[in-house]
Amino acid sequence: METRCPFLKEERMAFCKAFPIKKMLPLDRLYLKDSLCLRGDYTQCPTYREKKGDMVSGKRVCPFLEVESVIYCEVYPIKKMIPASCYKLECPCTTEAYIDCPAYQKIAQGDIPPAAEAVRVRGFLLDDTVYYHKGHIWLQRVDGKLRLGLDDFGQWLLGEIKEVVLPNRGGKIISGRPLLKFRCAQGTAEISSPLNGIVVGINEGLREDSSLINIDPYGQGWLLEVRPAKGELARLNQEEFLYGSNARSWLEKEVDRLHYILQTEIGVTMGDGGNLSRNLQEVMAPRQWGLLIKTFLERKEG
Amino acid sequence: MVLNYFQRKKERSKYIYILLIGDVEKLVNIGEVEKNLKKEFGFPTKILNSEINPEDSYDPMRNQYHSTKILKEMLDNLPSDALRMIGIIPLDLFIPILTFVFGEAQLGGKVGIVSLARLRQEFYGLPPNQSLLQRRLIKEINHELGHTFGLVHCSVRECVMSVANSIADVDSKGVSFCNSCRELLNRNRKELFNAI
Repeated sequence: METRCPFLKEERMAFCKAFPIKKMLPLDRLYLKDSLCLRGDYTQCPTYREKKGDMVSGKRVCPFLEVESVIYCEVYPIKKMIPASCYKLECPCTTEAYIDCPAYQKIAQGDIPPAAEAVRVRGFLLDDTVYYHKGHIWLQRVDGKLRLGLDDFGQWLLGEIKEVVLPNRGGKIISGRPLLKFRCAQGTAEISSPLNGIVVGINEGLREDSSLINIDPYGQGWLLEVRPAKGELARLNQEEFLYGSNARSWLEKEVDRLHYILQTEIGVTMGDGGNLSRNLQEVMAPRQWGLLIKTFLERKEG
Repeated sequence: MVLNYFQRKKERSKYIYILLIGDVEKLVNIGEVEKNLKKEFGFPTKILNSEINPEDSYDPMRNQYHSTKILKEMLDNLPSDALRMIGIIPLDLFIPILTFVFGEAQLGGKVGIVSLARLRQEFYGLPPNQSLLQRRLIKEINHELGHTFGLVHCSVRECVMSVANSIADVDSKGVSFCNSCRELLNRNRKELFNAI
């Protein structure tokens, strides 16, 4: 596999150091245009004359003409030019993470069919494009960061979320240590971090409306963004995180486990049919709810 | 000596009971159900008309019947020669965490129940289809009895132990067990037979 995105392009761009707006033009296009900057009569350029001061230049090209190599995404509709000197910074385009980039997937693998993005597994939405931690937190690579949220099963278990307490931006998070606190109609749930890293963003919209987690768990209800600690990205491929078909079979087993836990007075029973009731508080005592939260969401290990 | 052996064997015989709760025989062919049970599970069957009053498990808020409560009643009145008992009821069933159930059963237990309500085409505003109803009933009976023999839900779509969230799921799954469910069923059935 390539270690950098095949759509990442490098080009030499020219711009005027003296002009207040840095308009970049491909260097070869500048030649084609027979630009003033490349001819001896650049001395007639108003900007040169304004900025030259005492500078004496015997050069045949304008001394204010600067050339720099930049990198940009060939397929993304907006061409954001980044100096090639920044290439050594780790970003999805320059690592194997480029395969998760929506722009890459759209062009290189064809459009992602809608059914592949979110499917229903035993009544729960499962987004096929994210990783799942066994504590029902989803993780998605976004611009070199990891976006975290609660999966559909997790939000269903919590029920009506009245408030979510998020960590501070810039705060360090440690795998297995408390990360999030949810105040719900049935009680309070504390969820641990699935990885080590630094919080670089939080979903401010949740301060106003925490029900977004219930309504759109994989979209507007995302929780926070994390810059993972060194080596943490590699952990996504390990057993504790699930993706694709593994995530599907794991979720199926989680629903079965739910039936095991919700024992009736005649022991464990299994039902065939229907969808799970949306409002757990109507069918479950707070003590039973607490047991479910402890079992499925409050995992202490990483 | 030989006679004593068969006599003992007869005394030890256990049956899969088919419990009819309400006017079930008017809706489905129970003879076909018996034939299927013998084929899939290999035990003799007995038919019993239920004296259970389902109204005790009625939930007016949901306008449905709590299937676990009916299972409890079945368990309390289980005949001594019942190896397993599968109830068939025309009423719409539910368990608290699901919006409805086609059926429910004890996992590794003795009783299971199947509702005809949502297996009938009439429920969906369609004309009746007797053979389809019969096929759906047999699938759900196999599924629920499978649970009583210790089988959990299966991810093989064609297997009768796969989950059905809707009637379309019931129609798309097969009537019998996949290889791995069949293997587990046979093992559990054999253990049970030896224990009798």
